[in-house]
Amino acid sequence: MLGRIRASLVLRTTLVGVLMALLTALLGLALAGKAARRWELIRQREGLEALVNVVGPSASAACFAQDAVLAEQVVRGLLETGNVHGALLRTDSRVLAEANRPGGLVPVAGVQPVSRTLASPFAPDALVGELILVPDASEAERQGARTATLLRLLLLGVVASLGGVLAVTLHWVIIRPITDLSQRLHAMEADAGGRLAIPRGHDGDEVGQLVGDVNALMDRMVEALWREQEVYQRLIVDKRKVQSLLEHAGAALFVVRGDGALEAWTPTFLQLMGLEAAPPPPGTSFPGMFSSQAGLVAECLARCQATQARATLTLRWKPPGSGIHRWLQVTLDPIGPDWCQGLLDNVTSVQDVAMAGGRLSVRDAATGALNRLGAEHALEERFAAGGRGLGILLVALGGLDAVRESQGQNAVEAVLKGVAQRLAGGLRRSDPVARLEDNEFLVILDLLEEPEVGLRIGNTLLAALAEPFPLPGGLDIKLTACGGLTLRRVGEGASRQVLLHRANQALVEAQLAGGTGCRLRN
Amino acid sequence: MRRPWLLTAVAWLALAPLLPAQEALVVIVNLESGVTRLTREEATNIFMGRQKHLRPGLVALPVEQVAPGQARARFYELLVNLPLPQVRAYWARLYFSGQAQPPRQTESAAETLQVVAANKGAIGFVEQTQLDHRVKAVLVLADKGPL
Repeated sequence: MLGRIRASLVLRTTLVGVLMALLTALLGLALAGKAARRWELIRQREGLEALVNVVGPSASAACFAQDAVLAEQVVRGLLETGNVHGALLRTDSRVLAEANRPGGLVPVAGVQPVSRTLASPFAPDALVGELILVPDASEAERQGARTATLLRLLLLGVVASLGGVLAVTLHWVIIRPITDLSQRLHAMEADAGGRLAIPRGHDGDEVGQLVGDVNALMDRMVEALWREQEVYQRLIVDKRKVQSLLEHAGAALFVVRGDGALEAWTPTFLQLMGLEAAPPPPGTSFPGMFSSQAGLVAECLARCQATQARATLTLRWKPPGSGIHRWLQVTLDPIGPDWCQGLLDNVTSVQDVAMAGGRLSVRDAATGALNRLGAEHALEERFAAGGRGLGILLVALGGLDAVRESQGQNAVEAVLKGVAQRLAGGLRRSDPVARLEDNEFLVILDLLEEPEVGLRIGNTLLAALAEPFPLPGGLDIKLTACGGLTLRRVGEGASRQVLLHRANQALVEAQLAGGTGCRLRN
Repeated sequence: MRRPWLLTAVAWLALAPLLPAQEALVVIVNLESGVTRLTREEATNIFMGRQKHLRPGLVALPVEQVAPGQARARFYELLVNLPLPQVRAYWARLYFSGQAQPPRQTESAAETLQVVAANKGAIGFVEQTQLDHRVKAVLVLADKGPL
């Protein structure tokens, strides 16, 4: 029932109207009793005053002549009227006549006797007596109740009439047009261009304005709907085009989440990964697919996520079930904060040629030091050589961005070249220097076993980097540099990834400590 | 004769003091009543039924003459300042109770004089010029008040 009331404007309005009418009627009924009683008391008092005026001459004559019989007649006559409970007529010396109704006087709040002094009939200034009337409170109560009943009936009639008129008016003028509009809205097919008709007689009022607004809204909605359909159709076509392009272009595309879970891929991706026969379920760890090189892939993914910029990694990898190594280049582009789109490219032929051709692919073109690939090769060689002592020093430079902004990229490259030379100049020829990032270098300290020696070498290198770098034109550039060092002791089985991770942690500590010293982490 | 009413008013005002005044009325009592003088209030009380005795121990017998003329009306006019119909209405209220009686009525001044002279407690009124030795005047009622 409550649901029906909430759902129906007619029911709700009617209910509210009826409730308001009932409340008004109840209030009126409560007030009518009091008002009628008060009114009746006033009317009774006025009646008694008038009565005293009528009997005044006779009462005055009786008092003047001290005629007890006439006084008795006057008093009895007063009792004959309905509103007098008791009457007393007296001179200044004695009571001439007194009479009361049987039952005694019931005191009622607000009921006071009516008293009138009587002047001599022949000398208005001479007082000869007093007439006292006691109103009949019960009669006033009866009259008040009768008047209250009449008032209540009248009030009920008025409230009922007003409520009815209001309900009918509301229904005809407001509710019915709105209900009609609602039903027509339900039945209307908006996308077919349907419009609401303004109800008759409501052209210029709020209902007509509402219909106009609804029609205008409908037009805009239909227009938006058509536009959306056009966009949707175009999207489908574009999607098909892209899908067709991807399927036929042979690009190995994939989408990976920030935590490494693989979400989607193209057939070429599976082909390149050697997983055509057994595609991985969605959510498979993308770095985990590269087993021994999972750390590098995870680091590349983390870099892409952290910098929100493209990250590239070239790795040598043997697909499961295949005896041939492949060179794969992984390119990751961020798609928002949680996703990356990846492109897997088989660069085996290019890489083999480059490796065969010499240093181009393993050297950083700007500084001549090893690049990331060269560093990996160098580490791979040293790990392949057995569990001898090994130190890895990561050096981070500060201030390059300021140089780039103030002096340009050429100055930066000149400084970086100087950095690589100073690092190489402070080391043995067997200790390779590699540039991993724009401002990050890696130094491999071969056959290092003592941490103190490694720290001394590191501080010496940092001191060399702290010296100004002269640029053509007489400008000196000063950089800050800090280092993170870790060691693999003889016989320790730490992997490359573990060593790189430890060195990176030591570097972060050095950066947090001020960015100028060398920290060791084992 | 552009303003005849003005001349008439002036003449009336000039001659009014020369016109003869109405006779004064006197309230009379029996020579042996023992009453020598009455106030207007006492006379009112006796004639209007409030006072039943002329003096302690002597029942009052008020008498009024109803002979043609203005004496009765003038009397009540001078005594209680009421027109005769109101006096009658007053007595009508008291009459039916049986407790008070209106003054006894006489046909002439001579009869009034005779009744007063014959009854020790009688009291009446006549014009001052009609007064004789058989009765005693105790109150004079004139247009300018009691003399």
